Amino acid sequence: MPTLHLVSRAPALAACLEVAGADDAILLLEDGVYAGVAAGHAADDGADAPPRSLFALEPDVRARGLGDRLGAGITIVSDAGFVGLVERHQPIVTWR
Amino acid sequence: MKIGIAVHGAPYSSQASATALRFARAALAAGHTLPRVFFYHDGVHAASALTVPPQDEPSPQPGWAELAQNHGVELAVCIAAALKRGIVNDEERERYELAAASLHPAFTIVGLGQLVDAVCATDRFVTFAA
Amino acid sequence: MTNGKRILFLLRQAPYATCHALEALEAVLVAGVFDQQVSVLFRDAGVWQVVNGQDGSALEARTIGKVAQALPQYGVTALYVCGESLAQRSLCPADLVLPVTVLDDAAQARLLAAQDAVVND
Repeated sequence: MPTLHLVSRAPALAACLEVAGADDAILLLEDGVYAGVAAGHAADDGADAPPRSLFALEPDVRARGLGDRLGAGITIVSDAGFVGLVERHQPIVTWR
Repeated sequence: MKIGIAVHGAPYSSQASATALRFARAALAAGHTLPRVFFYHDGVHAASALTVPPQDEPSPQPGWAELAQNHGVELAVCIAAALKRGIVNDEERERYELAAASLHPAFTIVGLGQLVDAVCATDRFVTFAA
Repeated sequence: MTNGKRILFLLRQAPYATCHALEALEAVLVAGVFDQQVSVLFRDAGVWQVVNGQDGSALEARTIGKVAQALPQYGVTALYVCGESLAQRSLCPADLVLPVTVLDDAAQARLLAAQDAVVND
């Protein structure tokens, strides 16, 4: 089963991307959502990097006024969507 | 599915407790069970009964207490992390002859082994870091 | 449970400024006495937890390197360090307080993927 990475601070995304697998999902939450600004392809760090699914947590995005500022490659999920991601992934790794 | 949760950040200095609470509610709404939420590091501050949140800055504590009361979620506070931060139950207050106890009744003081137990007894384990 | 769960502690924080490193290591020590497959990955600033030459007494604090050295006695022998994190800090395995396995990013990805649960600091 693929891993779910929770990134709760923007600078931590870089470390996460170094070890995230191609099938893994990355959820930006709390201050991690800033890493998604105009960086929908932040998860594609280099031409040969594997694509990963990139998500951002809706309440954190909305609170920070980032609704229209996130990169196009990012899917916004609700808290229920967060739970769904946890259901479909194991383990869950937090990066702060 | 059984989901274990760890909370590492204190209310007001971190979003961890509030985020974890929203996740916990959503997980219960989706039909999952939460046997135990483990409060560690500064996360133990969520268990203080001696806080007075301003009306427009709500604390996650009533939300946690509601989960314990209505959904049987154990709110487990690490004893080692709690005592040094002034989160004390009656038993520890007596043992160390302290002026007051401070643990909110919805929370329980447990040993650090309960963290490992929570990992072992669940299908998923999610850490909300500070 | 005889084989137990595969639990990885991902430690990424430098010691002393906060007690995160100490408390996280205490959790690893406790996990070690349970009958589980416990491993530790030191990464990013977390590699400073296991660098030699530490002296916590200068800060009236416990020496984190000493705490980490107790891991094998508690049954935690699967100790990993991110090679790139070492290199970025001009460190090598000889600078560390205990024997560790150095992993590149791909090996760390496999290590993470093999876990039942990951606990971080």
